[in-house]
Amino acid sequence: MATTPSEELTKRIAERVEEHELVDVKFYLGNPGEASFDVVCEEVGRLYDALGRNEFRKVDTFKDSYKTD
Amino acid sequence: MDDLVWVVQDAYGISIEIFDVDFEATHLRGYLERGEKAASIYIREDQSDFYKRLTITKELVHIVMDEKEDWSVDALTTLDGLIISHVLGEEDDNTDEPDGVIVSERLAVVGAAEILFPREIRAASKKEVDEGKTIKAIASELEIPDAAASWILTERYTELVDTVLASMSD
Repeated sequence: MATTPSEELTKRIAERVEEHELVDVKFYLGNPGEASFDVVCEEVGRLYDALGRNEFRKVDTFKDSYKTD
Repeated sequence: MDDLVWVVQDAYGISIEIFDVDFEATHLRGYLERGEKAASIYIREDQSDFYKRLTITKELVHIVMDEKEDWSVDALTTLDGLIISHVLGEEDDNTDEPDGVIVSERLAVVGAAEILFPREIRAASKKEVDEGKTIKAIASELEIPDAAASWILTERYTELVDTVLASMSD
């Protein structure tokens, strides 16, 4: 039987918590009132996919990366 | 503000790393993972720099303000709370006391807003808007999204601040 997005996320969160010894996870959602739970779970899944593929770049300093002038 | 990361690291004895992540999403802007002594903030890459600043600041406020009882790895409950429980109080007809997830999120959002668009300059900004200055111009000067600047200048935001302050005094 196919797993739902939330079931899949539950498993992946648990793996990540154990692997990285996490004590807290937080999310920032844009327009949460317009979001569906399954869609957001899928988005978190895609984030985890990217992390698993090392498709992320460290921002060395807040100032250097996001200064706009 | 640019030194906020270092201030938080030094004051709270926690190592903080920030990452841009290449993934597709409509809603998920940022993600914070926290261990006992280190935290990672992951920001969706395809956002404006202004939204990235807002997102990072909000997650940093979590690191500063959240007590241990606010920590949770129950991501589904957190996400459910964010989506269903009208975190920003925009249509809040729920008279039950909000749970810890909602209180934590409201505090983080308000904290970030107050750092990026402090109360002490808002009266002047409102006056400028009344005199014809655009929200876009104000937001650009503050390096925050237009939508954030606009929302922070609303009565709704002021009411949210009052709600957050009331919950902190309970």
